[in-house]
Amino acid sequence: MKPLPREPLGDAPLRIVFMGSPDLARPCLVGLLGGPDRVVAAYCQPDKRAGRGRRLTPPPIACCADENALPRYQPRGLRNAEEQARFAELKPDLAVVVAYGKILPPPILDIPRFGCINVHFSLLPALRGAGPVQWAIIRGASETGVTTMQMDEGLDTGPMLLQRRTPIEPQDTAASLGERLAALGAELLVETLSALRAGALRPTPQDHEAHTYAPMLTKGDGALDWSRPAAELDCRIRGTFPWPGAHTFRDGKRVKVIAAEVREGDVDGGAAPGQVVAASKRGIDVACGSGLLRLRQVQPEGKKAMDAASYVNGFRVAPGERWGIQT
Amino acid sequence: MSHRKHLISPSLLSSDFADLGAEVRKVEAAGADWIHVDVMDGRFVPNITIGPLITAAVKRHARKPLDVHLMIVEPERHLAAFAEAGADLIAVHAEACDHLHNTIRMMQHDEPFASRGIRAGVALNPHTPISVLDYVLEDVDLIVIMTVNPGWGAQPHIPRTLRKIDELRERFEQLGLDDPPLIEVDGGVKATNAGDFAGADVLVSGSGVFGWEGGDYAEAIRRIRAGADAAG
Repeated sequence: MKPLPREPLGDAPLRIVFMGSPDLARPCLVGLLGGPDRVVAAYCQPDKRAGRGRRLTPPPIACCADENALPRYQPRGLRNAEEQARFAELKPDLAVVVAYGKILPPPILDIPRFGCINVHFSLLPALRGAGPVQWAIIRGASETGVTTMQMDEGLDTGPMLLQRRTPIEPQDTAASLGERLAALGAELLVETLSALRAGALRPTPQDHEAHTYAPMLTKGDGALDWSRPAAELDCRIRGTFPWPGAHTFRDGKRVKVIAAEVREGDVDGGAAPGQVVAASKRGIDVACGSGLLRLRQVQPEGKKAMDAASYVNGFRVAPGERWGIQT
Repeated sequence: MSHRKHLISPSLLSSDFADLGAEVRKVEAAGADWIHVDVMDGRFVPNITIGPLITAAVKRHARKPLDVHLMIVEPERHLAAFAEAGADLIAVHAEACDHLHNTIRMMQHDEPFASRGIRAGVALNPHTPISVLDYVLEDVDLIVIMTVNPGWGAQPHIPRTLRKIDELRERFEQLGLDDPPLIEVDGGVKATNAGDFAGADVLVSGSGVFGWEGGDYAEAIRRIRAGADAAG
């Protein structure tokens, strides 16, 4: 790993290569553009086919680079010599990596004068990996945060620089928490760079024993297992919003659950997990392993999202029916 | 067709040259994404406009990227001056470069360009086929399709030049480009016809913005953007 400066650097702006792809990374890039250093290029994922018509759609950071007329590179990989040479020609003092979505091979890590700094959206060593925002909610954590770290060859294993915490609110979804963490991450990044310029960064190794993983989510992570407690399912619904979205099955058809709340109080002991206990315009109450979950907003397969009242009327939900059985 | 939000690059060619600073600030406040600077030398095109000195003066008032279009012969002789003047994107004309590949490489990798993170563009006159770009498509960051013959503002566009947009998109697909260059159209873009240019990523408009009746640049830009977004 490249050593960080121990003495204050001069006033010359640092040459920074930014690497990031989704909206989550945008505040960090905007923060750098407004700072004293010079962003010489932005790397992001290749354009992908998406949406109706399968049009080539650029990742948000590509658009942000275009708006700011930054040179933009979207290589499929960084393992070949040509891409590495192109990266080296940018003569970066530093690479700032925020949810880039690609592994950086060792030759790339070693090119910038001060190495690569990553903004990771968790309190490391907790929640290493590509899904820290979602898993923080799914696992029911009461707080999370952002960490800046020096990148090494491992997956989010490098020495930590600065960290900031934020509580997870009971209504937080991956979308709302992500937005908050993205803004917090941008502040922390600016702070980290000014400390780096002052020669004041002192990396702290992670306690590797204490680490947990937060892998990239798959569609399967949105499946609701009604034998689990209601509070846990509520976390899963919020943590998988908007992607991949929580879902259950009714008569073998997939129903997405967009919003729900845990019903307080005692539950009729006779109801089996997944059984509908009540269905009214207030919501659909489903029995869980413990407690009740009131579904407030759902989306049947191939339809638009709707509130529970419309669903109860339009799809005739009756107490007693059993949900969550995939046939 | 790409799925980008259209960027609007108002051309100062149609602004009040005696009050450039105010015009730049006004058009930025009105929602311009980039500021388009037309440089003409009286040789590549009949008209003469401005050089690096005025470009640098514009830069002092601009917060948005300067999109500098060099309609000059032997542009490689002057590129460094425009980079130092604060250009963020520089487009040279393919017709004006004997060593186009080299000129693009220079703007991306040599000083004083590399340290400034300058985007390298190539412009094509109405008669020039896109095939001249076949061997630089992987390198170039911006392609400017001239939809009028360069030299003066406020000309009507030549519709068949727009075919080049689709031809370029096809080439990008054939080559499997993961980071295709942006396509800019320059000439005759205004609120009433912006939809015709929707295949491009960046729309230059001079009189379409600065010539808007009553001087409401924000309304002009809003309508151009809406016209292009609705069509593409």
